[in-house]
Amino acid sequence: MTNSDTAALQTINLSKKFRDFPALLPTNIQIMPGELVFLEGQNGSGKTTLLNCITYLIPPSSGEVKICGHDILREEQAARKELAFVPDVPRFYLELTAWEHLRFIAAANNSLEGFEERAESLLKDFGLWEVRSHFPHNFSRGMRLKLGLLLGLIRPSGLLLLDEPTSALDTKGTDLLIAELRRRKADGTAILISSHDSGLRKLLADRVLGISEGLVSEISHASSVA
Amino acid sequence: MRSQASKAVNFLRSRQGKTDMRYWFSIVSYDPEEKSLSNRAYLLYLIVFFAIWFFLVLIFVARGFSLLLQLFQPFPATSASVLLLGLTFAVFSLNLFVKNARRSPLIFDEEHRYLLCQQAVSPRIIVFRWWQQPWLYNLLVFTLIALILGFTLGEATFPAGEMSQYFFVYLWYGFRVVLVSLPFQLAIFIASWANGLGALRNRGKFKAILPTTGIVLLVIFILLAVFVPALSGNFPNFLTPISTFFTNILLSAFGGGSYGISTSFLIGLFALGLSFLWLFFASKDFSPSKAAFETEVAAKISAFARYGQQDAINALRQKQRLGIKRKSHFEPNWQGEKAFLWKAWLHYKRSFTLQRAWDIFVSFSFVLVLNISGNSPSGWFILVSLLWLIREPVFEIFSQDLSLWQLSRQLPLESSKWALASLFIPTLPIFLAIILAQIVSLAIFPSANWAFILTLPLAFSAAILQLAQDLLRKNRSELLASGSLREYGMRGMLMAILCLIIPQIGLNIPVSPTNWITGIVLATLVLFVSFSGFKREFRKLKEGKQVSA
Repeated sequence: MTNSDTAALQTINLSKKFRDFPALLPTNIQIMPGELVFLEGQNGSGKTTLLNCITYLIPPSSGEVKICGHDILREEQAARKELAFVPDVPRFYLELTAWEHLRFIAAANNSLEGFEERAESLLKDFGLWEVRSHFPHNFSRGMRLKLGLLLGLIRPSGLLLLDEPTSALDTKGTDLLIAELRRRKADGTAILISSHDSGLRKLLADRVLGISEGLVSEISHASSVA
Repeated sequence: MRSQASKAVNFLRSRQGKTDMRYWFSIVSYDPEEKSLSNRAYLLYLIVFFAIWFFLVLIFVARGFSLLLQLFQPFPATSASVLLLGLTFAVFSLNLFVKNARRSPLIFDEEHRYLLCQQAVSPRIIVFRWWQQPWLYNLLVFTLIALILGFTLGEATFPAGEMSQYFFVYLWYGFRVVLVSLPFQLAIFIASWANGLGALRNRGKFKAILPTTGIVLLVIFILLAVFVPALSGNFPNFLTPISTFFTNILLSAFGGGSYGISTSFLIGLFALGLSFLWLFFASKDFSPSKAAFETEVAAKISAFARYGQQDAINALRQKQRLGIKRKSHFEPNWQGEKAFLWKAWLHYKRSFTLQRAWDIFVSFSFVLVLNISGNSPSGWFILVSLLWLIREPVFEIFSQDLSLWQLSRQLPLESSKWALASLFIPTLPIFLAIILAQIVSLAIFPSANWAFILTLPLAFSAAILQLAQDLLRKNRSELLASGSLREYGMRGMLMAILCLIIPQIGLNIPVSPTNWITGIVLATLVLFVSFSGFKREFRKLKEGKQVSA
């Protein structure tokens, strides 16, 4: 998927200001393939802003973002092929069922090959198989979050960004997510998780980044995480 | 205990009534909390101003109605007024009975559902403290209609030049109709609530619709009993007592008949007493939780409507239409940008309503009218009107894609291509209707211009892209990421109008022998310019370089 020498994510002086308010100070992050990095910080510290800037959902005020070596602006399509982002509050098309959402995302990413098997397996694992023909606006918060996660997992990616992925998950859902993330990590996918879940951090993190008032700093390396 | 519960519900409802009142006062910038003399003087001014204003408007409408009545001469004006009042009662009754039987007459929002409906309060207390506010809104509309009918008879009775002489009698004509109608209107309202509570209790059973069906048939029967003898002059024997009874009541509202106002009023009070009795018994088994469950959406729609949030109302209605689940029978192997075509098709199919069919029909009709009026300013006005009408269906899918920025922005596709796919599907049926209408026009009207077949789709495409361009210009990624979407502005609309008109002006420029060439060249040119601008704005939006909208 990616060259193991090339960083799955590299940000160079990435920053964001909302008018005069510096939401994200110049940030340099590098995450290598197969690495799982945890991002911690209090509410309003800038975690979601950082993820939104990395994905260019919100254009940063300055800096560069490279996904698996591709500049997200200059080589956008190549970069986005490698990038999957699951926001903390996933939103869905009103007119599409859960199954159609998965199919649409897979098709738009040119990943329809083997889709049926992948989708069936993921939906069954996460307990959404029986409601695959339902519209997501009828789902509970936890089910919506699960479907949001599946939209990120239904296609191959070099970098997976997850914003508060366990905030509305039940214990079984969290266990399934942990297993899936371990599998992806072993396959060489780089993962950046923003979360308050210390249990998840202890189980999965290779490194922990802290963010406070928009300033990102390295808190710990793999050896000291647990 | 009962009295405490009653006081609590009373307190809650009074507070809500005050909030409602404050909302209506805020529209005219009046603050009911302020006790200053100037504020009270302002209130007095508002009352006088609106009383005069309403009176003048009512007289104006009544004058129009009386002119209309003259068309039916020698049919007497009093008889016509009686029939119109009867029709008004019938329409109000049918509307209230059917509406309140289909869903609970008591509408509870989410807060009521989790707070009030969970309390051990007697349902009767809730019902008897809930009907007043909805009734007042209903009464307001009914009163206006009743006043208009009374004034209409006044207009037909008194000589136009001597109106000031009969001013108070004229006023009495209006208020007499209101006075006679009032107890009946309230009786119908209360009865519709009682019937609605019964329907709610038996929801899903045959018993739920049976009384409503009976009442609807009864209303139609009474209406026929009043109308048939009045219009045909024949009195079928079995209709006579019913016809006489109701016609006399209606006539008393206009100073005629053999009952008189007091008799009709007393009959109305008797009917009102029966209605309250029915409501008293029906409210015993009322389930507030059941009512809250089925009226949550209605409560939301009502709240959104108050603040003009049409998009939110459309989304709620669409959710209701879609229901719980759907199975797609069309899953093509379209990948990349083509996946958006599939998604747009599903969206279009599942949101296709009578309104959308009407939009297509309107497009067809407007092009026919354009060919009648010719390629002139009046014809261009038709084109602009058509653009105004089709803008909503055309932009529905594209707008949703933009408001779901966190999904659409992430896809590894060229943005302008998926955007075109989202615009293409809803535009296609409208364009086909336009082209078909032009072909029909060529067959029917000798003066029809064949070049419209090319210039209209090209110019409309350019206009739509201009609107889309302005939509992109007015929005910022930060807003889109949070799901907010701004509408396009006046600049976009003006540019779209120019794109529509310029090619048609080009068709009028004589470049013999190929007059049409200028129009088609100009249409292609505006499309090219619009598309370039559209792509440019998309790039700016993604990179965060838009000018502040």
